[in-house]
Amino acid sequence: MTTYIIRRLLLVPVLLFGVTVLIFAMLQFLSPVERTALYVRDFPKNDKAIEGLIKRYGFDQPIYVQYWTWLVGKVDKTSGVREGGILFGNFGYSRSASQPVAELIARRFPNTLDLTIWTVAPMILIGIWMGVQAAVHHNGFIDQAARVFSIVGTSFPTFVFGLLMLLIFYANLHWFSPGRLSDAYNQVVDSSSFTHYTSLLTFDALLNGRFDIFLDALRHMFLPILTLSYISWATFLRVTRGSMLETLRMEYVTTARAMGLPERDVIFKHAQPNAMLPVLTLAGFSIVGLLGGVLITETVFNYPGIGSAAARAATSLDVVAMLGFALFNGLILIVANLVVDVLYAFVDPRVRLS
Amino acid sequence: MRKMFTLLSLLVVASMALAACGGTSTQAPATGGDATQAPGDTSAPSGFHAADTTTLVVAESEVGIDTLDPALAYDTASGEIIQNVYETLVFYDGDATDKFVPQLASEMPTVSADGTTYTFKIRSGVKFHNGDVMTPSDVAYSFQRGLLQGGTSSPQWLLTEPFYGVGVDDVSLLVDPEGNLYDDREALSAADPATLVAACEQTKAAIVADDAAGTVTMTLKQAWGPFLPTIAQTWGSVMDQKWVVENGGWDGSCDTWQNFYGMASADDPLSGIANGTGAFTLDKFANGEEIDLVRFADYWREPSKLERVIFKQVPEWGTRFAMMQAGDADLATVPSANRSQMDALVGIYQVFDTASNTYGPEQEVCGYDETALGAAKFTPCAAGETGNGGQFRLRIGRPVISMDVLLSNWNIATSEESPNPYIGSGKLDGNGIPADFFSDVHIRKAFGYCFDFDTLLNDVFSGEAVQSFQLPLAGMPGYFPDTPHYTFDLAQCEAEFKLADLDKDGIAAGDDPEGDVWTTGFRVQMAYNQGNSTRQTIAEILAGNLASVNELFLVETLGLPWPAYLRSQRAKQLPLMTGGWQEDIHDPHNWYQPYTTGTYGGRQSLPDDVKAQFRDILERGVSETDPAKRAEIYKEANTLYYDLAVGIPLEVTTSHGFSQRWLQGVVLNPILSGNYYYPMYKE
Amino acid sequence: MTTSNEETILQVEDLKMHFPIYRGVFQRQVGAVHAVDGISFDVRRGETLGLVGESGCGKSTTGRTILQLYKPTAGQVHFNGVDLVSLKGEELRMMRRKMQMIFQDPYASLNPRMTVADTVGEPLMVHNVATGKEIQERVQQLLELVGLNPAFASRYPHEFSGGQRQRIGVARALALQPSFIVCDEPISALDVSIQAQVVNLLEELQEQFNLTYLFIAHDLSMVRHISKRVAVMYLGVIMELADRDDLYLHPLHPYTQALLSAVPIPDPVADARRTRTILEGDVPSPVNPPSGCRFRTRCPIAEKICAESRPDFREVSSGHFVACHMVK
Repeated sequence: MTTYIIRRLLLVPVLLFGVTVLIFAMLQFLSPVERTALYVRDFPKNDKAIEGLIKRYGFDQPIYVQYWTWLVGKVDKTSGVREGGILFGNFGYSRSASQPVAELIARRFPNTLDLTIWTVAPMILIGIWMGVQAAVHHNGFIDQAARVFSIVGTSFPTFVFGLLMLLIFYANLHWFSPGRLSDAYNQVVDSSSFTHYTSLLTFDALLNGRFDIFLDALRHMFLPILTLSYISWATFLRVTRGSMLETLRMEYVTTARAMGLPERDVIFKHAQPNAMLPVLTLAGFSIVGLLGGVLITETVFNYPGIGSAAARAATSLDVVAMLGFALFNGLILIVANLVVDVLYAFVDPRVRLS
Repeated sequence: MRKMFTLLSLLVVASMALAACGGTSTQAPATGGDATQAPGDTSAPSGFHAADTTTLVVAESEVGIDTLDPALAYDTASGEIIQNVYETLVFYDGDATDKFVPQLASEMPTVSADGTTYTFKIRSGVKFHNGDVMTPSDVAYSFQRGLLQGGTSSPQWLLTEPFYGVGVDDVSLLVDPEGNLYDDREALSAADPATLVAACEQTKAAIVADDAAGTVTMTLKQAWGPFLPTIAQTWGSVMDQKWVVENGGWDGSCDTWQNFYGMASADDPLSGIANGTGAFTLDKFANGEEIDLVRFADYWREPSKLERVIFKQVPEWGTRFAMMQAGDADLATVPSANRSQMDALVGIYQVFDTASNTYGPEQEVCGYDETALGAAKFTPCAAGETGNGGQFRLRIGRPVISMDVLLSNWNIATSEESPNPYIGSGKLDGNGIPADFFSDVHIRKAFGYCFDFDTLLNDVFSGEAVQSFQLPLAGMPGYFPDTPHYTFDLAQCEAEFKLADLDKDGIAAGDDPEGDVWTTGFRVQMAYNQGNSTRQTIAEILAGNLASVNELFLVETLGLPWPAYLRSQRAKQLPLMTGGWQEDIHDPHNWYQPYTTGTYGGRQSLPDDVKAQFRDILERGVSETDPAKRAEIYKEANTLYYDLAVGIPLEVTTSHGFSQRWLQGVVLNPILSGNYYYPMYKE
Repeated sequence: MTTSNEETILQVEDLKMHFPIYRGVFQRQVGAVHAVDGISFDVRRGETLGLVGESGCGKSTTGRTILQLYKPTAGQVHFNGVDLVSLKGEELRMMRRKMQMIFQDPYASLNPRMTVADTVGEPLMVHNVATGKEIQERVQQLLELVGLNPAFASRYPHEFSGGQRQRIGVARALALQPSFIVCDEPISALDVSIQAQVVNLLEELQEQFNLTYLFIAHDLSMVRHISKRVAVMYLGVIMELADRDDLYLHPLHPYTQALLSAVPIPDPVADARRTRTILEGDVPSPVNPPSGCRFRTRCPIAEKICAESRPDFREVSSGHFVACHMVK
């Protein structure tokens, strides 16, 4: 087990190196002029401006030099200040957000993490529960209803569903609002009287003893959570149902029945834990997806997470920010894969010991 | 558990049902305001009441502020914040684009007889947001700092010309007139120190503060007609020297200015902070997310009625629409494609009258016809009739301050090594065009007559645009409502093609027995940047009309990614293009400069003699200070531009803006960057 | 030969197991798979009854239906004189202690997430026959009994070979000291060398604990080795049932004859002398089985009557039952 984790950990730097090479390679698809042009508003009044920028950013240097500069940084000849590369957390400057990409990620990611934490439970647990019910009542009414629900869920575009939720629960009923927090609470949170212990708003609200802020934050997260859960329920339902049906046909389940185990125990002790392995994989991917930012949901509900920032960077051709997000997502993916693999080893003895 | 499942299914079904009828729901109707109130008088109560009257929320598709440094900001998004946080010496008088009132100057400046020296009396007792008292030195420092910071992506070229001379569009030209130092701080710093100091001293000598007398004197290189419009914009903002230095800005020394030259917003320490004298202080700066301004209690005038202005970035239109419906946003970005959704909920509207150059009276809406164009969609209420009670206020029909112009390239770049991909064979053989195709005036005129303006105005802009007859806009010297202009006339178009002589044998194409453009035809590509549907449609309209005149005339439309489009334009490879411009200041110089001697003139490869003719007119025009005389000078430019068909001015779109009905005190001046919040209040 | 005083432990009477087929949006029943379609036989205490047939003939379903893992469509199953079909809930659960099952696939029949000790000990826990330390001890005993090292108790199934896993399955089946075990093709997934070991183990245990086996297989030779009596099944129906030697030496039903002719004999001379009966055609669908005799569509000697009426399952000589019109 320990060697397994160590082996996986040793792989992380290799994977990260691969990711940086890949992302840097993507950057090379743009010519120096194109890369500079992205920084130029309208276009320069003098052609020499672009050449100046190309020189300033070192786009005229050999690719390996550029890669090295990008990776570890360089020394500014005029000011003598050392500018770190991505290894020192310098992901470049986002034109669309007018701030360093690392700062942007640092500010947006806690919100995404907060949303992820509150979404995971309803998304996964309810999805699994529905899938188990559908499988247990195979071909019965519940199964049929679940299948209809699942088809509707998969075919409903997030975008449409999200706007629908807004229309009903916000514009008409005024129950839930888009955004992160009500304006009045926003000012409290921004003030010095509010301590940011974790950067996660809901937890900070509780730690500050502000239950009202906690509730307000949840009220703003409700619709995103519902939307994210709804579109994922369909997938979880289908995977769980399929996996459960398969497991229920396994002979050890029949054996369990044959030995006189009550049906409840047959399902929840023998079938479900084994059926959960593919679901665990799915859950891993889903959580990675949530952590990487959910572009559409965050955008529709104006939730200031990493997804809405990425969406904005993409729509405004902010290549630097996009690469930063890609790098960050690669990092999350690698870490999350590691966690899922380790978890897998915990729940599946076959993985643990082989 | 089963119950929960049923509940969820019901929810889905219910949500679908609601979606079908949700679009038409409105706020509870309320009685409207007085429909016959005087134009511009916004004090009449609307009868609509905001839940929170002290906080104004603006839902914008983008709260992306490039920089809050007034010397560097050159986009309207940044400008809107700066305009409400910082202040200038003079400011626009209400919604007029050509009248000014003193702001940080206590009175309008005195101008010397030759028009080169402006003396400003600086208002005393004005405080910056950090409590520092503003001095004339701060004013002088602010202008000096801006000029020396320069850089081609900043607005400073608008100030360098009056202070350093016509054509000097960056401070680096004082160090190297050849222009080798543009935007290159490293190279500039390596220049001769004496030259550097001299450039700085020249700048300091042009702007002199006298703290004792409370004045600032500015000496221009030559008289400059549009000087007040130039300094009334955000780049004329006054900063606190002490604060700038504290925050790592230029210390005012002539030995160090080069270290701050060509600042990019990423390097600028003042990009994300602000300390002005304006009615609002910057309270929260979460760029790309939210910006909060709060009322400045120590403002030199009566503090604003609004306590807080919140700019929220809400990229998705549906979300902004919901916020407007819910009353949580007072103002919102409405894309033109989504206007009809808002139009349906408009309860009161004002139509701009181009003849009087003002908005007409507020009118309650009693009828709405979504098939009509522009303001004709709405039927005003007759006397005694009660309006529909719609929750939004609409202001419609004011021409904006940008224009599209159809441009041709007189000498298209092509060579053996890099053949131009947009001109086919590069010869007059029916399968391409020669590089000098557009140097023939008749060809250019023919293109002007072959453009169907009505299709552009009505189909592309749904009637919410007017044809522009000349480069100057209404309300500036040089604008004449009845000036000669091109109209859609296929017969004239044909006649002009037949007058062309592209094989240069001295015989017009219509009579040329050896054949010329009329008999050989041509093929050319008109590129647009992908996603710009207006430019795409302009190209398509032109292609369709030319083909209808002669089936041998082939214009192919081609969408290019923005960098490729930019690169081809820079390389002067594009034979035909749509050039758009949004003015920096409301003055004809700001139009003719880019379109003739400046940027676009270059892109069009205008010959030197043509440029020289315009340069002569422009130099006279810009250094004249009498508006009547200026009008006559720019009339010359209009005539020359029309006769040579240098470009075909296409359209100026008209405004179509919404707000909540309870929002009052809105200043509708198109030259302002976004809104000016000081006079606004909510009922 | 059989003696009449042997006690009958299991009596199956006209057992039917039809699986409904649903189609369409409203899931209407459009038909049924006639997996088991009216079979009767009995099993005597201490014996091994072999149940053979091609795959899909319903032999596994028979085993599972007897153990009430499926609710039978019709018929009765008397175990120790009690009709299992009429039992429900706790009563049935109590009866399960006495009847267990061993499966074909040693990989699928063990829960991969449970250790050997948990797997083998679970029946004890379920029926509260032992607690804590007792279970542990009992598991050790059982593992020893089936020839596994008790030290392996804390390991997981995937660490064992197929034969070892099957031993674990046997140990689990034995945990509650049942009297009757359905062995559902327990060796067909194993290597030939291992098959014999497992069969020997089953035989040893039978002797030691006086176990009764219903041994389901498609392999006639292994059934011959272990069974006392053998039943031959085809398309949900038992065609012939007789003492092992009787059946192998004097098969009466044409289907049995065809099956036996396909079994290789380890004597090349004898093998060469045999007449091979090759069956033509495919096994008909159990959804829509042939009228009359199920085998008639492939039977070399079928006549008109075979299509008209279903032959009775008759005892043609002592203990030799056959369902064929043509057998006089």
